[in-house]
Amino acid sequence: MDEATAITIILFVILFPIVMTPILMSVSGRSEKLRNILAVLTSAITFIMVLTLYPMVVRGDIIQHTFFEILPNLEISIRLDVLNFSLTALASFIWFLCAIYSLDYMAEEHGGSRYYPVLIFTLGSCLGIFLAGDFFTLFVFFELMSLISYILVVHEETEQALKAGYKYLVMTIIGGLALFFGIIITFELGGTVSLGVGTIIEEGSLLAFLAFICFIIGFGMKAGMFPLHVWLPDAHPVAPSPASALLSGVMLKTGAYGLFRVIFNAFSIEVMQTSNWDIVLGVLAVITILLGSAVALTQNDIKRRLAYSSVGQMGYVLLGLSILNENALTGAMFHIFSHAFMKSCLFLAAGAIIWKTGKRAISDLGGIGREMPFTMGCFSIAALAMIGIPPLNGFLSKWTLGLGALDANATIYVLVLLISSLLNALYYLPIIVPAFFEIVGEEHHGHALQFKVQDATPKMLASMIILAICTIIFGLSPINIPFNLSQMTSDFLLQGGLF
Amino acid sequence: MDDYLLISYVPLYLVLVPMLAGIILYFFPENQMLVRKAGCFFASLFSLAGVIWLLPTILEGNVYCYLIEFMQFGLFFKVDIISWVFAVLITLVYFLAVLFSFSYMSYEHNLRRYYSFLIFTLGAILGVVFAGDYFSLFIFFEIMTFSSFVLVIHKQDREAMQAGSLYLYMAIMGGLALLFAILLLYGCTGHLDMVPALEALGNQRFAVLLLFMIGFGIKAGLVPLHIWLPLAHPVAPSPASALLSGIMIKAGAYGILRISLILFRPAGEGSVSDWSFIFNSGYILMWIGIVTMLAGALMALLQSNTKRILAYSSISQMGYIATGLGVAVFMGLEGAMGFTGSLYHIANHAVFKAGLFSMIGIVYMLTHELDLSRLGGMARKMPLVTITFIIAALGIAGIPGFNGFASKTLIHDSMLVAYTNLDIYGIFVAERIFVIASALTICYFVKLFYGVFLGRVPEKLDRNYSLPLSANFVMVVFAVLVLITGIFPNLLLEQFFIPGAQLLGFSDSSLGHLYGFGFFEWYPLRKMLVVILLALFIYLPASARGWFDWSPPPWFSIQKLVFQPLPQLILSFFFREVNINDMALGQFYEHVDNDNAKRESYLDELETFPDPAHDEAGQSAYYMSGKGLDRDRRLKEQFKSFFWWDQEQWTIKNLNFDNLLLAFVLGVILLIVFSFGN
Repeated sequence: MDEATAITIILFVILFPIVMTPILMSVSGRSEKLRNILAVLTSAITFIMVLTLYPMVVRGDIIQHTFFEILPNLEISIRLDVLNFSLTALASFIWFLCAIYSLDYMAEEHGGSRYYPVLIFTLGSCLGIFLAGDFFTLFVFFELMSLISYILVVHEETEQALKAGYKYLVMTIIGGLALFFGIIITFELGGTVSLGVGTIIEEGSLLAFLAFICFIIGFGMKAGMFPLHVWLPDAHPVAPSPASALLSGVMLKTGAYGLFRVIFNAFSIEVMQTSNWDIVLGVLAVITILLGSAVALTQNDIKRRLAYSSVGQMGYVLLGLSILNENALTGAMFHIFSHAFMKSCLFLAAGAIIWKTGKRAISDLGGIGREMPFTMGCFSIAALAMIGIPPLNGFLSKWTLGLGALDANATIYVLVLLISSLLNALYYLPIIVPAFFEIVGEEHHGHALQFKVQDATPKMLASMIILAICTIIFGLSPINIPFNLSQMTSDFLLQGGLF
Repeated sequence: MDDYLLISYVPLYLVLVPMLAGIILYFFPENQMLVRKAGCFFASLFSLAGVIWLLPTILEGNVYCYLIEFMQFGLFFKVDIISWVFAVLITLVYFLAVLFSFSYMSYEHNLRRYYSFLIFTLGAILGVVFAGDYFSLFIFFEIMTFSSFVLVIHKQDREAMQAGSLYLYMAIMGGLALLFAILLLYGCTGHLDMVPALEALGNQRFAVLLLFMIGFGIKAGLVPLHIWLPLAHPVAPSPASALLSGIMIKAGAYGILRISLILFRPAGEGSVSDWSFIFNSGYILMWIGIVTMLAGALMALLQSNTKRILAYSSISQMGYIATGLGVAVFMGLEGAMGFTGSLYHIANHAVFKAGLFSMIGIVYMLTHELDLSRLGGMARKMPLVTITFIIAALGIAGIPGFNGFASKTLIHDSMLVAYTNLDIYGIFVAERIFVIASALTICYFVKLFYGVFLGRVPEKLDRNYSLPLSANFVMVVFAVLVLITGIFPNLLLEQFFIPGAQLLGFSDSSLGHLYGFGFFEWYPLRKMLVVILLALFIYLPASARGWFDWSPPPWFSIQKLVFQPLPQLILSFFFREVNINDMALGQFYEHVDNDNAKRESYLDELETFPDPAHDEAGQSAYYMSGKGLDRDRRLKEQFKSFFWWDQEQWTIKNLNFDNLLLAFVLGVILLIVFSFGN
């Protein structure tokens, strides 16, 4: 595949969902079925097109293409390397599954004609963030995605949803402004904001530190980093479950991706380490991990608990980013993959339970595992992966992160990871264990239990089961594409991340 | 014999076949019991046959099996003679337990889940003992924890769920300690192979040792980490109890054996500080063993639930094993006798404890009674169970002619040798306690036997019982194993345990004593006679005055004094702070975001009327503080209601915890101080 074809594909991947949005809108007036099929098809085609780029990326090719300049040195451009390919593939895959899941989940909901176009538009803008070639383009798509996903957050239109949505919106705007400020400072100091030039700011001055803080606020807000996580546990649970899965599974990762780019393209490892900015990130990451896990323990709403768990898990990625060595970066990158599979699966399963039984409180979920064995089975696998039980993928990412922390002689980070694992166990096992083993109602010893199995629909189950299988395979299998991509990414970033 | 490399996939098949059988059997419908039983039967038979088939190869050298890239870091199996001894015990007891399940479980519910997890766990345990590096070991250890959890809570009543969750959380904590230790080890040495690495560990040796001991000690039920064991083992169905007590706690012992005798050894000659570290760790391990042995025996004496007596007895017997290992560690290269003694005891305990649980299980299956006061006179009703029970109990009591005698003699003699060589008074005291604990073992088995099999038959249970054939077969096999080992004690010792000791590099002189060891000479027999007389001396007056029915006050136990309040304190403080911070943060943002309109009107008023604005401010401050208090109160309630470490949940009936235990822990600390002071 030559470069021109690749650029066309990248452009297609970004623009196709965006172009499909008005089409979906116009179709939805005539036929709901056609609209739904089109939405799934769009995400499927996007995913397949992303996959066609895989051989090129594995070969080590890098594409950096500028379309035009708005101002001198401020351009609209795209970029493809192994880092953003990984995230693009991940995002479009999860999107595809969530679109399938939505078919049944949203069938009885209101506002389907709003939901599907927005879902697809968000896909386009999210891929735009990942494939952007400079910070300015990234910023444009970042704001686009943040604002559009507001519609997903407030979809239910309840008072609670509107309130959470308002909080989300205000925080997003604060984050966006901070990001914009950071980009301006970077432009001022380095004369460019392109991702193709390697290190933009080469030494840590006060102004550069200000830029770093602005980036941290902007991207950290999106990634749910302490103390900017407050919107997350409100906004994620109120959205419809497939949207929650996307918000937690994929959209949080845009923040982490941004920080990757900031650390390796706006600055460099040397700047980070000589100016001790990695310690700032490390401290924030530790607080985020412990806070997210600890607060999750006290939640009784299942989706809120999952949302707080997301906060904690994103802390792992930030921790890997603050350690900045090969194993830690591999771990951080692989945890992005792992967390996307695990958390999407958990949210989809929780959504299926709420959809089927209407139960949201964890204390009511006793015995649900026998009514919905497959849903709860997927939930359990993903939750065990979250705790870090071998041989699931969560264990692999924790192990790799732990090795990275030890390479950096930071035993305390390992301890934090293990404490967080314990807390994960403490808040996931009280969901799983009663769900399967608690006896609800009357039962006589020695008699087989009769349960009415009423599981979720096949389409919903299919997406959950695929995600659950992913958590198993990507922990166990010797041919582990996400892990290889993570290793390639960390090698690539440590070698300078340009060419 | 270490140089000879044999690459074989047999260990892999032995691990995978039971696991796959478990997974496949789960997908058969509930009513196809024949397929399920046949699947379990053949999978366990396959493992047993496979392990025995490995024997000629093992005697030539170690078997290796690499699975490169599997789980990214590679799984690695390595079977040496020590692993093989464990593996053959595991598969043998498993095979018998599966057979026993056919009759025992026929009245139970949820058989699909039971059989699937039963056979799946076999693969996991075999994985633990076959693992060639710590990474693989950890993986199978965790899988074993989770699959055996399902066996523990099989009954699903309140008691089982509580015991199960205590087991699960403690096991997870143990697993994390293990993971931490393994990561630290990897950080120090750069590999995870099971080779001596004491020098490479440097300053972190203490932390690594402690973490490993916590991780494996929880599984092995060593005091003070044993608290889950007397709860979890009795609530499982009897075949599963037999496996938990007979086999699964041995996984912990296996881990302790591997780290204390292999990992914490100098790779070369070793410096003086290395050897003093080894000596101290072995000495402490021996004392942990002694305390465990005595505490378990004392607690077993005070129980009235038959299965709980056996569970405490397991703790006590694990103490013997740990003592033997401790002696082997601190004797350095001369410790072959302690090592072979504890390996022997591991084998013996697996056989007689699994047998005893099966026999008590049969009594329970037929009478549905576990309480000693409501049982009695079963000797007339079930003569075969009585005979096999006597044989197994004589085995555990260490009576000459039965299997426990040989291993206990070896452990005891190793302590005497250590005392003669090193002349440390503490070892002498430990040896005395060993004798007392052995006497107590006889006492509680007399109590158990008397309560179940002798005396008057309660009216409710006065009917004819017919025993299923498979159960009879299982019991007879256990009894025969006890007898054969007991009558020919040197057979297993010379065939398997001494080669195992050779593998660990013990010196020839210490190994030389073991060939043709005179078990039936006057000296060991005399020691046993002393123990029996002491037992009579304790049992007769104590049972006459009813001391065994005494129960310690509920607050005076390790669990109530340490395990319950300490984490509660730490965690509650931690969560309170974190939650308050999180909520305060949320509130802060809310005020920044949401109240702009209100703030604007405040500003207007501030411009026109300063005084009302002050009032407003005062009022809103008052309101805020009230709201804060309210939030705090609600938080407390929320925390109380959702926090799993609840006081209420943890008060489990029939849990009369060791008050004497604490006194002994104190005593041990004093003794250690005392003996190091010399």
